[in-house]
Amino acid sequence: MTKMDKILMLGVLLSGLIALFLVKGFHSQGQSVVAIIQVKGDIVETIDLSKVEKAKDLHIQGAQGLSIIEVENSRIRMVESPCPDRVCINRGWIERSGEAIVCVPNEIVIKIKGNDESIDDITQ
Amino acid sequence: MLKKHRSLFIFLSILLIIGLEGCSFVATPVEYTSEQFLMDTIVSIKAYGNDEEEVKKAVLSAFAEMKRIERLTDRFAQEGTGEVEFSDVYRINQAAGKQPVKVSEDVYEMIEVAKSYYELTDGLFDITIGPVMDLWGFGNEEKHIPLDAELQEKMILVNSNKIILNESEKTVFLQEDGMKIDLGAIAKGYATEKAASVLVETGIEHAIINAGGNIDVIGKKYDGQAWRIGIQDPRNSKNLVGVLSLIDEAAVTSGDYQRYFEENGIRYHHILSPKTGKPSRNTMSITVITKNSAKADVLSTVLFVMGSQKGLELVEQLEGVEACFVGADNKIVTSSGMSNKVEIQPSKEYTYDKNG
Repeated sequence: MTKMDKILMLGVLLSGLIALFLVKGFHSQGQSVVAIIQVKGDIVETIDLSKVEKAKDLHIQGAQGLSIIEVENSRIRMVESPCPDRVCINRGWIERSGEAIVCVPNEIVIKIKGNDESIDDITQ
Repeated sequence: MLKKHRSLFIFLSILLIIGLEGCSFVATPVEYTSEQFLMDTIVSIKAYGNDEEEVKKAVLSAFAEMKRIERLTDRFAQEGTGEVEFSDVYRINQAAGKQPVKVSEDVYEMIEVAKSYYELTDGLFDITIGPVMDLWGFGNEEKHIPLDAELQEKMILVNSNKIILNESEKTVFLQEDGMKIDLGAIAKGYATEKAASVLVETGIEHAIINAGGNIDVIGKKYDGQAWRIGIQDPRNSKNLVGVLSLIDEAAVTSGDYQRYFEENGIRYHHILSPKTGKPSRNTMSITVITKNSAKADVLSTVLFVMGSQKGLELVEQLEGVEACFVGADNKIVTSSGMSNKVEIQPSKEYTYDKNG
């Protein structure tokens, strides 16, 4: 093996490793917490919670009436919904990837998408 | 070094690097996910395949199948909407004490399975609990604690021996006036099983169904790994008690945190013991895994009522059934075959002794 061979090999390996780190770096970038709001299965809102600076209310028309959803930095909750048992409101704030609030009567789902890909789903 | 070897080496290095950087050059499958509100919950189906239109068609057919089972088992069908004529369960309950009702194969099968578990558990699983569910308001009314006298009156109607099945006629008859069956502890699992069959029949090899926390997976994940399914912590929805690895299996959890109300600081949840007519207090949550989703659904309720001690005895007798209990005593207990299927998360709240 000549000296040039060694340099060439090293060069190829190094550039490969640099590329590897760049790719991985891009993947792990943006620890964003994205909430999606669905009505009857269709996405009506997508919000990056990490970018919310001031708390605000969203008014979402569901199957039965108006639901009010409160958004703060990094978290989201249901404040009002036209459902008898208030399961969705009692659920409180959600903030972690995989968490969800479901209002069955008004057919609204609020979900946190995230970077947690180690779990495919949750049995509950 | 020969020139030939040098090129070979460079070629291998490049291969190695491509390997390291992940298989982004390999064709990715089509993924199609859809969600619908069905059976009092949200159902999500995610399926993989090669052709988007085909995968979509398969998922929509699976939903249609679940919708069909929902309509057949809807206890609260509304008059004048066409729902009543379609709901076998509604018609069975209406005809209680009067006459047998001819039903679909599906409803007949569900009731037959339910009766077999009634016998197996000496009455700890009983679909004739309907009148008591309604008394508590776990049907669709205001939830409240019933008076003991009211409870005693309704408990007389809870008796699966008084469901008369006629195999050749496919009829169901409730012998006492006022009896009501509730298929809530099996219908969702049965519908999920049916939906999974539709997906498999249409050629889907990788899919996951989540029917309000009842999970059913088809095959492995597209990358050949087992599906990783978290078990929710019954007291802190942000945590997991453990993570299951599933291939071609169903996982169903019954918990005291799913549907409940509180009065004077006491939690009253929806899983009633057919012996007392009151919420069963042994268990916080129980997760069952087995091949058949309907069976998993029934067993989750059965084992919840039994509690971990008696429940584990039953699980060990049943083939292909594993369970993970979170007891009211904060102890996590798993069946013998569970150890290679679950990773229990370390926690301050619960204790777990792998060796029982």
